[in-house]
Amino acid sequence: MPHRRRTWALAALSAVVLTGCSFFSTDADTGEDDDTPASDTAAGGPEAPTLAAQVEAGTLPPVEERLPDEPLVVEPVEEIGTYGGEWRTYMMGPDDDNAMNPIGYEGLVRWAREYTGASGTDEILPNLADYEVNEDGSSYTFHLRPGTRWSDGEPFTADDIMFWYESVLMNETLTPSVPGWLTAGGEPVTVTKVDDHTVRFDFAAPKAFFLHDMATLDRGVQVAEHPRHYLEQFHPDHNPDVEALVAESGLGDWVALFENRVDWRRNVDIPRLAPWVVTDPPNDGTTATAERNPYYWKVDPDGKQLPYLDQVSYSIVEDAEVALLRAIDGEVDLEHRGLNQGDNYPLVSENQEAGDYRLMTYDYDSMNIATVQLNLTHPDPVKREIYNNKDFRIGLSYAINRQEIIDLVYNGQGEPWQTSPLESTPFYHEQLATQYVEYDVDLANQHLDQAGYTERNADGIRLGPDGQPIVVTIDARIDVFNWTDVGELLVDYWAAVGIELRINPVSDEVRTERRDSNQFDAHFGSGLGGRAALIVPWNYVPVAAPAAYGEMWARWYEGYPDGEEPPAPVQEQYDLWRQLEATFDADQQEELFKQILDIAAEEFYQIGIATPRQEFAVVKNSMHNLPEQMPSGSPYPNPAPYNPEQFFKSE
Amino acid sequence: MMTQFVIRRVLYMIPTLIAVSIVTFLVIQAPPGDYLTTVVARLEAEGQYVDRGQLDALRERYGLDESVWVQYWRWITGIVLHGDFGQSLVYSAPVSDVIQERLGLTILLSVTTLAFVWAVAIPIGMYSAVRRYSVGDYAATFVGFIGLAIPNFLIALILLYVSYRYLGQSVGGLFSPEFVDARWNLGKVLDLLAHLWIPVVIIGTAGTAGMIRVVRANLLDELNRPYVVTARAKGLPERRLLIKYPSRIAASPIVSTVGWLLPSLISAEIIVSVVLSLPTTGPVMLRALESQDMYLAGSFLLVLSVLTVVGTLISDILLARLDPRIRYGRR
Repeated sequence: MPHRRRTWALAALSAVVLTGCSFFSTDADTGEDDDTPASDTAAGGPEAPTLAAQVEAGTLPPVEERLPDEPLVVEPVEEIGTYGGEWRTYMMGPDDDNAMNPIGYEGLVRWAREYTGASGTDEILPNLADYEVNEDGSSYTFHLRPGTRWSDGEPFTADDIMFWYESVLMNETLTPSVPGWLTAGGEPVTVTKVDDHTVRFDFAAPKAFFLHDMATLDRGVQVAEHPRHYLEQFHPDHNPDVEALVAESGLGDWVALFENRVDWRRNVDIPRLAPWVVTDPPNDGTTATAERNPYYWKVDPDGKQLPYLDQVSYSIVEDAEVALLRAIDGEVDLEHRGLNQGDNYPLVSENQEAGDYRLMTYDYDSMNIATVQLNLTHPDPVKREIYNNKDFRIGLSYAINRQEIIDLVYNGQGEPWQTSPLESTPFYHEQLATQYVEYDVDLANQHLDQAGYTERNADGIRLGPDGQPIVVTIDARIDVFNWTDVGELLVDYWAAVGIELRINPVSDEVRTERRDSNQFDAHFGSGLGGRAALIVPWNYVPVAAPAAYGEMWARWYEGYPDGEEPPAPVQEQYDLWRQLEATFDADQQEELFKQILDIAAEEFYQIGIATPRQEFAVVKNSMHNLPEQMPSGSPYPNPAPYNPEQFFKSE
Repeated sequence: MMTQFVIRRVLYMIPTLIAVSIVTFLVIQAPPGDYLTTVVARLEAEGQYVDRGQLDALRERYGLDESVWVQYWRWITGIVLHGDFGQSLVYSAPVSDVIQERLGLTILLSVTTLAFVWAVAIPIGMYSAVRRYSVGDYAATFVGFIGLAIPNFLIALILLYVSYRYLGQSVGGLFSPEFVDARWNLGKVLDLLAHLWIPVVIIGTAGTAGMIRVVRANLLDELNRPYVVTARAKGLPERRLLIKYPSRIAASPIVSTVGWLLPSLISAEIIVSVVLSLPTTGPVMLRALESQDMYLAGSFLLVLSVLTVVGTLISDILLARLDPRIRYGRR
């Protein structure tokens, strides 16, 4: 009976069509129930309509029970917002972890919105906890906000912090070496539970920047990313049968399993304290999504639970050009990553109207667009001798036409600058900012002659002490800051004074590898730490690998056997820096840092070019509660300190 | 006879694959640095800094401090004994999951492109062979050479701009934003089709141009053969004659390359896929190579090699079946 079957099929077909959720529907089928009642009462109520509906349905406790006893009140930047909408942005590949920083910034303490990098602790605000510090900065007590809950409804207490301390930090398999920010006087920190809502961190010696580190992503923030009730099942100290879970997961051992489970960007099961919780991880598919945390513990001044926005949606792009096109097409609500390169600014700027977006200024925490770092610890003794000759470096500095670089490469933005912290900070050092920045070819030649390299070959290139022409190869990252363009100009400037420069355009990975193995003549460095000079100090004192001018000194300082004992002035800097790290008083810190900068100025480690232009972010016009301008650059994980939970979207 | 031929070929495959797996793994590891260098570079670019002590600990955890041979042995035994391709460092997920997830759309894209190439190239090639030195032939040749000469990524960028500017489409990917995570329905299929034509045309142009030349050349060889003249003399209609005899023979070189299509099914066009941010395997492979995610990249190349070898085998078998001279000719 074929005709009969056909009728059935038709009936079935029309049935599915009528439900609206059928294959033949041409609307995007999100897989969610479409007819969620948008309860009228909830629109102006203290929680998002979607959550109100869940409360009504009995699947979620009422909002009063979900919030802490005294929720943290967040002042909106402009106005009280409305619920709903999504924040659309992108990430550059599945392992672009920093793209998720703005939704993962909930530590015990946080940076102030108007962060200036000032010394002292005034710019560190209570967040999940309030804090007290003893006189010398060796003991820190944190009072957790009672009633705060993880995103699954379990309470967040001192036990969670203790779990992190005892089972993660002090577990030698998980943490083979305690990171420097948690040690003082050679001893790791001791954490004590005072009561259910109070923990104390004690150090063997004063610790100047512990609170700063506590406010920093990937450092202190992880202290509050270890929900004990969830993670203990993956830890052999708490679950003797962990091997069964390891076998089930297919991972190598329990450490791999634990690290996999604690990774909140990819594990959708881990409870969080953040405004949005990842529900679609970036390592699967071409999108990632984070959705509203129903237990988020912050409210606006009207007592409405935050966040306003329902979700954050990332599309994973493989190419920066695609990100750029999306941005100017108006498909990005707020983002800056990957846009601030090359000559994008004019294009992004002129499309503002068409794309219905505006630009927000990011005040970049850098004092230099490009510093030339000659390798003062070069393995080749001849090159080392040349580079360590201060007159040689001074000569090179005078030979640079900085204004021309600014005009040609950086659209006229910035001013000639050596390597001092920015003028707006208390660390500004006039000599370090302005010495040898004039463009003066005669003076340059004079210094190079003084350096002893007066002989030249037939091409006019000066000869080094070994009778060979002086050739410097500089590694330039190809992907950012227009460093290869700067390099091309430097080639001409230095050829004019008899030094041959070659540019080696490399990827960031290759550059890092060449630097860490000390296989390079020179490097372009970024001037990070222009504002947060105390937190990112390596442009002033070579304490870490990014100080490429003193690579082997940095290794020595970090205790590596292949490091190289530095000369006296650097040693003196190290002594001062150690002293500074153990000084809690802000004024004394500034005094000590000034001495460090004095030595840096005298030694003239690296050659600066110009202060950097500001960065920009694309902001859709429908996005609200954002400032015109905010700081950017580590340790400030912009725009997170501006409380993304209070951003909202108008219709 | 045939069985022996196949068995012999399969046995030859084993040493080939072992050699290929070793070489690919070594080549991936050859550049200085490892995956952690990528991580460090990225963190430092944002002003963060990892303790060297922690780095060493991580290196040990991932087994990156061991010799290449130990790493290779662990990887290959995992594959052979347990079918386990290892963990991707970039994706923090099993390699097999990463590849599998993108396989469907990759194959769809490749098959569609292939269909496009054949559908366009074979008729045009035949036309320009039959109407040699006509205006149409010159036009097809001209367009074909342009297709061959312009780099794919450039066409990609141009079409991307055109589709954004004049068609108002969302840029990159195979779906509009609202459909990306939606379940399959007619709307999603239509949306896919609206996006799919761009990569298909881009990847197809070069292939089409090449194919037109092959078809034209092969057919020209055949058109002057005596059997064609005979058929024509016997009064066979021109169209029927063309399709029934010379075209079939001219097509055999095309059929014999079917085997090579297997690897291209999953490698997709890497650069085009990156430029268009397609959810195919191409970008994954490029990223894996860039960040020295050796298990992901190695497994990828291994799978491609296996497919190449198997594809060659298949086309050899096909040819042997079609043409007895190949089967017996070796003696």
